[in-house]
Amino acid sequence: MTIHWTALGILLVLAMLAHLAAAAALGLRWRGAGHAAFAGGLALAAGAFVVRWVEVRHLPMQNLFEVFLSMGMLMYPLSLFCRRFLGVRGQAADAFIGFVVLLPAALVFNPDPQRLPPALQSPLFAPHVAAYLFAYVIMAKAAVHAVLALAAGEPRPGRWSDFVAGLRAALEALSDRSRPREPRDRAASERAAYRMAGLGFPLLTLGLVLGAWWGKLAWGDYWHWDPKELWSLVSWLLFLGYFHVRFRLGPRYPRLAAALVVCGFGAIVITLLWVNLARIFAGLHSYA
Amino acid sequence: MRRLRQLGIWGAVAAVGLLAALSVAGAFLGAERAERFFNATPLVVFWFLLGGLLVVGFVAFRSLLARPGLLAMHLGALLVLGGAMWGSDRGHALGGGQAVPSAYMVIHEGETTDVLLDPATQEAVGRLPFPLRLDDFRLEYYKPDDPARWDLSVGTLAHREEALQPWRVGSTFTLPVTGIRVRVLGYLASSRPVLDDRGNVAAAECDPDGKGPPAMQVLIASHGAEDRAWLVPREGEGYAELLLAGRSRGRGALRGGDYVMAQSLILQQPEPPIRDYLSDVAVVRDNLDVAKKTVEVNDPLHWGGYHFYQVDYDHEAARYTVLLVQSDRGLYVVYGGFILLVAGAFWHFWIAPALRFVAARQGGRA
Repeated sequence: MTIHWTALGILLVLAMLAHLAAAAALGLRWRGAGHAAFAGGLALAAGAFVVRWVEVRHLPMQNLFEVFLSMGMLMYPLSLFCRRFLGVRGQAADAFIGFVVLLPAALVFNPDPQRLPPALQSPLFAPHVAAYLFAYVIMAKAAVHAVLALAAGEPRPGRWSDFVAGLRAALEALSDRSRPREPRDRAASERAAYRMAGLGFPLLTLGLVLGAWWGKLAWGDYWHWDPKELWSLVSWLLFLGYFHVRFRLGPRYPRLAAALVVCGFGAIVITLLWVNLARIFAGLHSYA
Repeated sequence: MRRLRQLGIWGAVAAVGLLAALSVAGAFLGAERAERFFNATPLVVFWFLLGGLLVVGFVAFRSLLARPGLLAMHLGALLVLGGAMWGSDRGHALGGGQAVPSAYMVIHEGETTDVLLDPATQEAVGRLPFPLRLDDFRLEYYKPDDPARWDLSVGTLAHREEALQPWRVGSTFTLPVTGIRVRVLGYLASSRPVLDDRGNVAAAECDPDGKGPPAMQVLIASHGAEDRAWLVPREGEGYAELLLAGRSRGRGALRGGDYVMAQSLILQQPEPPIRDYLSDVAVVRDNLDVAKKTVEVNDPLHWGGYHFYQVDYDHEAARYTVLLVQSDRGLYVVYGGFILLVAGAFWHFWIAPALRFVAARQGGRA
C-alpha cells in the first residue's frame, strides 16, 4: 500500500478517511458529525474525480483505479436517496462501503494515467461503465442488508457463534439499527435487501445490454464468451434467480433469499476484481 | 394449471441456476473454447428448453400479460434467445443460402475483392455478393506528452528483450541479473555529438539550434568500478545504444563468460500510442461506387446484410487492412430483445413503484 503524494492521491486519502469517520460517527449516533463527514467525503471524492478527469482528458472510468475512484463518490447520494424514497436505512454501513471502495483507489491501484485505446473511444463507454458502477454500489448495499438478514437471530453457544454475534453487533451499529429481534428484524433486513436489489437490477441489465451493443460495434459481435462477459452474466443470472425465488416464495424464506443476494454480490466482486487481476481470465477486457 | 405453474417457475429457477453454473465453467475455459462449449449439441438442447420454459411462463402465468414490465422482460429474453440461435453458425447452416456467418477480408490499397477468408487457415471460405475496394489505410496517433523526452530501456542481448526503465535526472537503478548500477547524470533535450581524435562520439553538448536529438549521460557502477558514458543518437537515427559488457574496469569487471548476459542501455524515441485505425472503403457494383465509408474501430460499415469491422492491418507498411465480416442474420431480433429487456426491467422495478409511490402520496394528501 502506498500513498501517492500528488493532489489526486491526497484528495483520495482524505476522502477515504472522511468516509471512515462518517461510518464511525453514524455508528455512534453522532448524526450531525456523521453527515458532515459523509458530505465532506463526497466533496473530496468528487474533487479527486474532477482532478483525474482534467489529468487524463477523458471520463475517468477506464481502469480499476478510476472505477473505484468513481464509485467512491456515489455512496452519499445513494444513501440519501434510499433513506428518503425507499425507506432503507443503514447510512453508517453506506459510509463504510464508501471507505472500502476508496481504499484500493487511494492506496493499492496504480494511478498512472493511460490513453484510451481505440476500442474505448465510443459514446457507449460512459453509459455502459456508469450503469455498472451505480449497479455495483447499490448491490453492495443490498448485500450488507442481506448479511444482516442472515446474521439476525439468537446464535447458539460456541466459538463460531461468538464470532457471528460480534459480526452482527458490528453490522447493527453500522446499519443504525437496534438489536435485531427474530423474526421481524430479519424480515425487515431481507425486505431492505430486496428493495435495493430491485433498484440495482435494471442498471445491471442496462450495463449488460449496453456492453453487448458496444461489443457489436467495436468487436463485431454482441457476445464473445469472454470471461468478463460470462461473469457479468453470472451476476445478472443470480439476481434473476433471486427474483424468481422471491416471487415464488415471497418473504417466507428470508435466509434463502438473503443468501442469493450475497451470492449475486459475490459474483459482482469476481466480475469487477478477480477477472481483471487474475491472469487466468485474460480476454477482451484485459485493459481494464 | 397449478402443476404447470410449479413446473414453469421451478424449471426457470433451475435453468437460470444451471446457466449460471455453466457460465462460471465457461469463464475458466477462455473465450474460444467457451464459444465451442456453448454451441455444442447438448447446449443447443438446453437453449431450446430455456425457450420452451419462457413459452410455458406465458401460458401458465396469465398475470405476466397484465404486467407490462414482466411481459417485456420475458418477451425480450425470448427474442434474444431466438435471434442469437438464428444468427449462430448452426442457424446459418439451417437457414440455407450463401451467407457466411463470420469471415475476414484482407484488402490491399487500391485492390477490389469479394473473397472471404477463414481466420485460422487464411483459405477462401466464400464470396460476398458485392466487392469492396480499399482506397486508403492509415493510422492516427496520440501526440506524445513531451516529444523531447525519450524512453530509456534495458536490453538483454541473449534474449533480445527490452524492458522500459523509468528515469529522471539523478535517479539510480540496478539492473537485474548483473547487478550493475546506473545513475542518470544528465539529459540534453537537444544535443550534438562531441567527437574524439579518432572521430568516435566521446560526449554530447547542447545544440544551440535546438534541432538535434536528445542525449543522456549515465554513470555505470559495477563491482566497485565506475564509468561515465553518453548515449548519443547518430544523425538520422531514432535511438542510441550503449553496451554495458566490458565497460566496468578493475577487479570486478565483466569477463567474457558474462557476455551471454550482457546488457545494454537504449535511449529511443518513444512510439506514440495509436489513437485509431482507419480504412477508406467503397462498395462496388457494376464498376460504380454505391457506398463509401471510413471504417474505424467502433464505426463499422453496414451494407447488404453484413457488418465490416476494422480488426487488423499491415504492421510493416500500413498498405493493407484486415476487415472482419459478420452476417446480420438475427441481429435485429436480438436488438429488439435488448430493448424489451431493459425497458421491462426499468418499468417493473423503477417506474411502476414510482407511480405507486406518487399515487399513494397524492391519496394520503387527499
